[in-house]
Amino acid sequence: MKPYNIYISGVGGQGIIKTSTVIGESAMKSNMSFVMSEVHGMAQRGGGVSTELKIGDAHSPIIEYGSADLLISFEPLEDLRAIPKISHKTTVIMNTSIIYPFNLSAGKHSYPNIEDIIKELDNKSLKVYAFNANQIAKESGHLLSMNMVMLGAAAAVNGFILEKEVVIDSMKINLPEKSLDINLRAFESGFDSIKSS
Amino acid sequence: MHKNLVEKMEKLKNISNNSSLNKIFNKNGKIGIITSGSAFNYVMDVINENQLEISVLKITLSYPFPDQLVLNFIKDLETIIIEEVDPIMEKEVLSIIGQNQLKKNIHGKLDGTLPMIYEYSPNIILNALNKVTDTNLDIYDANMSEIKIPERQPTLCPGCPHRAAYYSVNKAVSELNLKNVIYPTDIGCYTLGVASPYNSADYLLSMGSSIGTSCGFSKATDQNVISFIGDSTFFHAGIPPLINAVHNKNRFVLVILDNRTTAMTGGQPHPGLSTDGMGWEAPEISIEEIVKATGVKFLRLINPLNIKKSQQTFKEALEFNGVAVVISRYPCMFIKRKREGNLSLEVKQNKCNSCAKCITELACTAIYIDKEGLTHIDPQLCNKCNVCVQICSEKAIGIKNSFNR
Repeated sequence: MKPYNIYISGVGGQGIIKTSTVIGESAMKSNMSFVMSEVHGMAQRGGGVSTELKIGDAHSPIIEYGSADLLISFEPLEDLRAIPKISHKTTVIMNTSIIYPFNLSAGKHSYPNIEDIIKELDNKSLKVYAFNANQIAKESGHLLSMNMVMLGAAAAVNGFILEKEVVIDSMKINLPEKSLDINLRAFESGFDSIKSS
Repeated sequence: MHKNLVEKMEKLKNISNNSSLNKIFNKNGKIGIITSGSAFNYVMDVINENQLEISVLKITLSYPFPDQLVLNFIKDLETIIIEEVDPIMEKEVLSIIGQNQLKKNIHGKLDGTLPMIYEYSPNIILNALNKVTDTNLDIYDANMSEIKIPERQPTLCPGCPHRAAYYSVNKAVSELNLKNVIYPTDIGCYTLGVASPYNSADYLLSMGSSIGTSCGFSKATDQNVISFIGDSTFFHAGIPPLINAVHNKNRFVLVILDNRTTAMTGGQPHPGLSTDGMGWEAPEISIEEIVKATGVKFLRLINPLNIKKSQQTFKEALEFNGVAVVISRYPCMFIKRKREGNLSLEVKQNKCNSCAKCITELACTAIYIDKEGLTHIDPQLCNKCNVCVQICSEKAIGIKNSFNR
């Protein structure tokens, strides 16, 4: 079976690694092979984080250029940075809520317009689902459940390889009990936001 | 003893030649690939996705090198060695070819089929196969963003004691009007001092090398040397070079940035703390006592959040003729999050003259300029270290007036 490739990108502290763990556990529960690698150098100090996940028959955990089936991006700028991984076959789920790099004023380039970012991704992918996941997370009970909003959205995408119920089971194992209700609400809201769009 | 070891290696070679850890995959075609580690994964993905007829020998037990196994494998195959980093296996295979006087080319890093640099990827393997064979395999295309993307660099946390120390070192250097100062650094969060406006890290080699190389610079040049090392790295590899520095009568300033943890890798304990790796109580080894015992004649302890005193201490250290050690001690913000109380800091807009030195010289991430050009402190990010309060020439930063809340 050709692997299903998921690339997740964002900023340290957004829950990218946890999301990847839930996806990996769901794949294994579904009797599919799973490999993953992560780049999180100095993430706690405000740097970028990305993970590469392959579900199915793959040996290496690196997604080759243009081979991502799904890009889940927790922050718009990190979406742009992931462009080498996507192609016209890639579905993109993006959180439109911005985290500005601290040294923006000292840097060469300014933060692009969000409309321009969405247009750029639209040109280079199959389909873009852009929405404010931070807002949905807050409505679900806590901002920190944003990663589960994104995961819920992923589960609703056409061709997503894992069953929604299996993902929910993995959430129950991997997330702290006291915040589980909020996270489950966040997941369902993310799911609905794609299904209704 | 040596005889025993040589005999053991002979036995081990036998094990290596017959070990199931060294395994042949596919076994067809005229091309053979010898590979190991993560490179094996890329090779297999490329072979499977392109349905190629290529034999693969995966070496897992690589020392002693399984010479007989490799000899049998390469005999009838056009061989490519695919390994990351240095061409170790490739040289072993060349030596086997030489010993057996075979007339045979092999491909790898040494003949330019594969690059000496980079971690590998499927694309690198595909390129190599296209060079060696007449198959014209498709290389994956990378889309590029047409929008220019700003960098997202990691930085020191708001309230980080290292930021305060770097600020004071810079001030001390400029007040003494020193030029061409050399800043060796070491491995930890404080390596981020390489960034502007701190510019306090000229190079980084390996753990403990900040002190070792400072000794060399102090002998070879007349330039001032200010060297940085963290508490954990000091315990790990900083003590022997400090002993040599004193013994060899070197002259430099060593700043031990003691933030009471191993912050960069997630807060592991080290011998300077009263808890060991298992979480049990343990004897706390004193950095001061170690420094004193090496014979250092200038030793000061500072709280880096006290800017005025710190600057004065760094100036004295720079003027000392010998090894001057300053221990800059304040706990990492991950240990000591917020200072107590509900008070928060703010910029008094009626006093601020928008000189922006809190941004250009201190560069704390909790301080920002809004669209109207006014400077603010983000109360969510601020850890109330009070350093900005001390450096503001207009006294424009202070406790937020609770009536305005």
